[in-house]
Amino acid sequence: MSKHWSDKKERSNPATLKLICWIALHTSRYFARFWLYPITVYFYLTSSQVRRASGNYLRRISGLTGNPWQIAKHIFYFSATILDRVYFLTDQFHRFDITVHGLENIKEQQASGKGCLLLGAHLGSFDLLRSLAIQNKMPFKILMYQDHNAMISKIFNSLNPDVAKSVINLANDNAMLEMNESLNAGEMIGMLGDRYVKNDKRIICQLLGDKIEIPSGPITLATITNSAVIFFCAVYCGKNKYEIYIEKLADATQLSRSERTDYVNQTTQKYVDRVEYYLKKHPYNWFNFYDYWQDESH
Amino acid sequence: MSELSPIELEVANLIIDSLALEDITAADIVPGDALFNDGLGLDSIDALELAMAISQKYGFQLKSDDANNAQIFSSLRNLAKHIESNKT
Repeated sequence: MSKHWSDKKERSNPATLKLICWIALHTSRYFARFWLYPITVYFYLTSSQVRRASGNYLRRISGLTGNPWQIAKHIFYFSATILDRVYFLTDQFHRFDITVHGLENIKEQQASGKGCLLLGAHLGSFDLLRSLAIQNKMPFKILMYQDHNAMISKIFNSLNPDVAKSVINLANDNAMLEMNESLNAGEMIGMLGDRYVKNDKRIICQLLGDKIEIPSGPITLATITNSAVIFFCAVYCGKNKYEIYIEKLADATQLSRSERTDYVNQTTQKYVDRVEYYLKKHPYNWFNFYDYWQDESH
Repeated sequence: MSELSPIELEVANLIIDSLALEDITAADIVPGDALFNDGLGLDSIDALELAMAISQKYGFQLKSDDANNAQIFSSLRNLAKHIESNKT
């Protein structure tokens, strides 16, 4: 049995994280980034699961071998996006060189007055996109499980209460109704579609040459609510550079239950294909540090 | 066989139709039993689909801020009761 992501213990401790936040906010990004090197070494040395998952993933990317240097770079990229989260949440976008591709997809959608799903993955920084959306007063909610990583979200939520307020918590019984009301009010609903929790319905897709399990929920929700689906990712490109990609994944399509199986399967695979496309371009932005592929438990 | 009132029967059929449940008839649904999770094995996405079918058929919205939602959706009996007192 491969380990499920939600079984993984939270690794960072509150004191360290608070210290990093303090350093980030009271010194400079340059100085704060210095600490990423010892942090990277620490995680590299202490977590065999992270090393194995990273290596197994990197080997799937052509040109990479998953050697220690590449694994360390992978951990470094992840740590860098966590640090930058502090700046995104405190609206310090001026520190970054951010390029947005495909913003017209969101503008067109907003002009139509209809809500839509914004489907991302643990690929790059989710917080860059959501902080930008909130700062620009876009009608935007995030559908997620709020209590996972409770400590880390508590600290980050305290940096920006507006971000915390934009969450529709999936742990709450009324989450689906809330989401539907938001869509009807013309809001965009952001979610990450590459992880499932135990009771989620899921389907088999192909990613980087092998089978993975992907929740069918997001695309199913889109067909039930007749909502368009927009794919997004905000990848970190080293130094202070981020690239945001926004693409239309699927037009609003309402289907009855009997008609939708094929559609959900195909559109979910299409989503996975976009994830694969960006992973090949930005391999160090894959932030699922657990056995992600089905045959990887060895 | 369980005894369903007319409105319970109607709602049971709506559940079966809107969620395309196979191998199950209205008579198989015990009015006091749980509909979701352990009961019919329905999940929260099914619940949304059912809520939308209810609003379409009975002309009222199930609201996310209704504190009684968990109770309303807990069984066919409670759901039917709620629909009967809210339908337009």
